[in-house]
Amino acid sequence: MTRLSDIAAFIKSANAGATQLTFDIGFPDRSTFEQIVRSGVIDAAKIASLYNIDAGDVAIHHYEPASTIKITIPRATRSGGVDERDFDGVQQYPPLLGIEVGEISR
Amino acid sequence: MAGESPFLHALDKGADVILAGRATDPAIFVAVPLRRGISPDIAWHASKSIDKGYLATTRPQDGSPVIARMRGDHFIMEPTRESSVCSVASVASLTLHENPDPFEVAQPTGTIDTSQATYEQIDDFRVKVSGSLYRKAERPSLKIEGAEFIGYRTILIAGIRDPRLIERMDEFLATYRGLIGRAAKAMGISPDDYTLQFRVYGKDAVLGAYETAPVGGAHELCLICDVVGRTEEISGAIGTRLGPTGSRLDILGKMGGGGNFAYPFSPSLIKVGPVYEWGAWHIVDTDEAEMEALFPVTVEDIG
Repeated sequence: MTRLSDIAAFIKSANAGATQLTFDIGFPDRSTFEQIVRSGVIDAAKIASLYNIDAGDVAIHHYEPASTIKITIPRATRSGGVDERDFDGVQQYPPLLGIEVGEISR
Repeated sequence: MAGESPFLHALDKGADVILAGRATDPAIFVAVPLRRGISPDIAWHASKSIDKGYLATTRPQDGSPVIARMRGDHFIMEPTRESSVCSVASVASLTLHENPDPFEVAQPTGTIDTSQATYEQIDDFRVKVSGSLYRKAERPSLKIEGAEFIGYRTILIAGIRDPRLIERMDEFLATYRGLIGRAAKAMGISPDDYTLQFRVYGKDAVLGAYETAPVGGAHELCLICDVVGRTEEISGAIGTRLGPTGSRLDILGKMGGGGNFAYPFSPSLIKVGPVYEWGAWHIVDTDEAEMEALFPVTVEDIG
């Protein structure tokens, strides 16, 4: 089974303001991006299960010009709070690496 | 955080160089093209596209600054270094950066809307962007940011290697927390005057509540005990109890007077100092007159 980390050009996370966390999954070309979008493997239910949150809290944008899927979820804690875990939000993406994506033709 | 208004005022007063406080990134660039008659649709998206400099190129590590050439209904992005390249993806990616929605970039006086934008590779290194929009807000708004002092932090770092303890970490920490709470109470410290957090690297320290990986995969853990007290004295007083209480806590009943905590440092207790938290992070409505008062502009001749 192919994993998302095998085919994505990059997978990263960052803060989007003080209350949101955003993930960018970039693909090497438009065709790979479109196959992933069409396959529906990255949907709100999948992301919700990986982060133990409600699917209603997951926003997904298919950003064609950059062949990138953007996912935005609420931060677990407010940015820079006393209970901060990852000040810039840059290490929150690893649960996405193992998403199984099926066959992709290049 | 200022938008473009103070920069426009400064230009109107004849400034050649502007020294400014915190402002949104595109606001720094947008005032000049707006005053030269470029439409806000083009000027804003172009300014947003150069505000991260070399991130607009395919190889940011080369450090090539970029130029946006703004025309009537489009702008053209180009690198300034000969070997660097602006591609459709590298230019379009700029609205992804630390932004929840790539089609909307909020600014104090409106929103950069890229939902109709098209990106075209016009040669090996330049990209033409058309169809950009700037939707002016009904009223201008400002982002208010502020930090608030909340106390003093003291931490203890310890390694844990016993697999039996690692397996029962949640139980260990719950008991440990109870003992520290009791010790604090005995010292006359109210629970409202401090926070105690256990950050367990090897378990869930990075993702916190979002961690869904199964527990118990690690053969060693790093425990950081993190105390934030209202005063330096409270933080230190609880801190001094962390090591002896935790290292001697025998939930297995098999320690025989040994210890749980492998300390990498001596002294093991570390004073981190004052702690600040976001106290304000809000969008507030304003108007032009108020912005002029909030961001006064003075012009000095340095001849």
